[in-house]
Amino acid sequence: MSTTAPVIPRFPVTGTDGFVIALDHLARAADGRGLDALTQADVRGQPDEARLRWLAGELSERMPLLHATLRKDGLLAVPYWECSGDADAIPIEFHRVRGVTGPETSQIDSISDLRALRMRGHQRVSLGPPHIRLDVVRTGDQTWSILMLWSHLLLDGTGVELLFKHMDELWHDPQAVSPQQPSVSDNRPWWKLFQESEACGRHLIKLGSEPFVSASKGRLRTGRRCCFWETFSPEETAKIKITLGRIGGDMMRTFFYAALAARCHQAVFHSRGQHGLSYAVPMPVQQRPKDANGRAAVFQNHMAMFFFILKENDLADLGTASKALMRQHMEHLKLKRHLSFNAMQLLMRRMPGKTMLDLVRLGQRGEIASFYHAYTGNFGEGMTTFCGGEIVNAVHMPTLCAPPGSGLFVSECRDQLTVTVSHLDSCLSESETELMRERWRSDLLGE
Amino acid sequence: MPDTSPSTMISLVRETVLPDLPADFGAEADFFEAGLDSMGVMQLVMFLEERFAKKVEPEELSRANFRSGKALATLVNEKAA
Repeated sequence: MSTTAPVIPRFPVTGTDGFVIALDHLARAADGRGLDALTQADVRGQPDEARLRWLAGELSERMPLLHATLRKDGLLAVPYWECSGDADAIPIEFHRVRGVTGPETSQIDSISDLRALRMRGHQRVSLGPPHIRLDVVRTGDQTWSILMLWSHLLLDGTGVELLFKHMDELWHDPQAVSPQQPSVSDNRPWWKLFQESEACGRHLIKLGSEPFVSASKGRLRTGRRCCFWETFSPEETAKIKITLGRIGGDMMRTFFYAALAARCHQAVFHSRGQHGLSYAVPMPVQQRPKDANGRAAVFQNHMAMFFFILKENDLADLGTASKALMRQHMEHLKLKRHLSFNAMQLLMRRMPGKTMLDLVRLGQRGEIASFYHAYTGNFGEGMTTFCGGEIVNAVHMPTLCAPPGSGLFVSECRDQLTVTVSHLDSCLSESETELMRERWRSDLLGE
Repeated sequence: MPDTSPSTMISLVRETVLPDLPADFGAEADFFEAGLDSMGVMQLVMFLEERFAKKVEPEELSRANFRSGKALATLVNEKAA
């Protein structure tokens, strides 16, 4: 009688995953912590502990990648996720803010204290689970918040929003079908990828041929992880959309917000006396594969990356900067640089993270980019409820490493725009983040 | 003069960014619901510029102008006028 060994699902990493693995390595080399991020959703009503615990267990059962471990193929050296671990429930803790009545035994002084604790992260000892952790906090008689700490190794911001959306779907319908993770493999031989990387390689050499600036000044730094954000009211957000509408149509938003990130950093660099330098602006654009039912992939990083250069005169105002980015984007598309960059990432994902980043930084005076930026659009594709309550707001708090040491991120939820600055305190000071805030208020609201 | 009818626009979208668009996709059916994203819009802009020699201005980059074959045909035809 023969027995067949069970097939262990494997998911090769995407090109973008490969780069994130390198950045996670950089973060761990600096202080032992991984490249984690925090997402907070504020909800009306009461948290239902029993059902949320059920959900944490159910997700892990249904989504094997939540308990997968990152490994590397011995022959081809391509990293992959191996779903062989036990389907342990996602860690979930329940708290209440001191002074708020509730059954939770854990009391915290404020949700910002808990955020700071989670942002500081934990020492990563393996590339296995848990990849997400949940904290549910009763913040008032009729309000609660959920904090999801997630690893960028396995998820990106859009994927996290899709996970929130699926959690809400399961809340309403425990029999709902979960999105299946499509396996995105690329079997092009290394020499083919090398050939296809050429156009992007030339672009990156050009990018590195003149100095660009970052908050870390091209140095590896450690520091306290900080996040600062401002959510605009629906009235302010409507006003911002009118401001942006004077520059271009609503499909330009990716460029507006990347331009805003550059302009806010410009305010800081000018205050440091750094005038006339170029800015290397990375812009991720989502490219999510779908499963057989047409549902977008929840896990792994799925982005086409574009690298732009903005010079001082491109940054005269938000409109000029947005249009400069759009022009460069069109040029990139014509020359298919995003495909070339993806080929380069697929080739380089075989490298140890340190080697990959050493190569990138070697050609760019120690730098990787001037800052990070992402615009994630409407939270959860416009979701308005979460696990039994109406969503009040939702915000992402990414962490990052140095270089570049800072980033500016934009998201929307329920007609409220949020601008978030993430940084290491060794790279940006509090007064500098205030300069950024003044700049975004001036650019977006004309103040 | 090139054909700029809604059905031609649907064929262009199928050719450039949404290869799985069904054969019976209507003139007013929503490209975004069918999977068109911001990257696809930019690829379409590039394609329109190449095929029809029409430059799409930043203020014309709206969801409304790229929503359907009919909307896209209107955009191209208005630029020709």
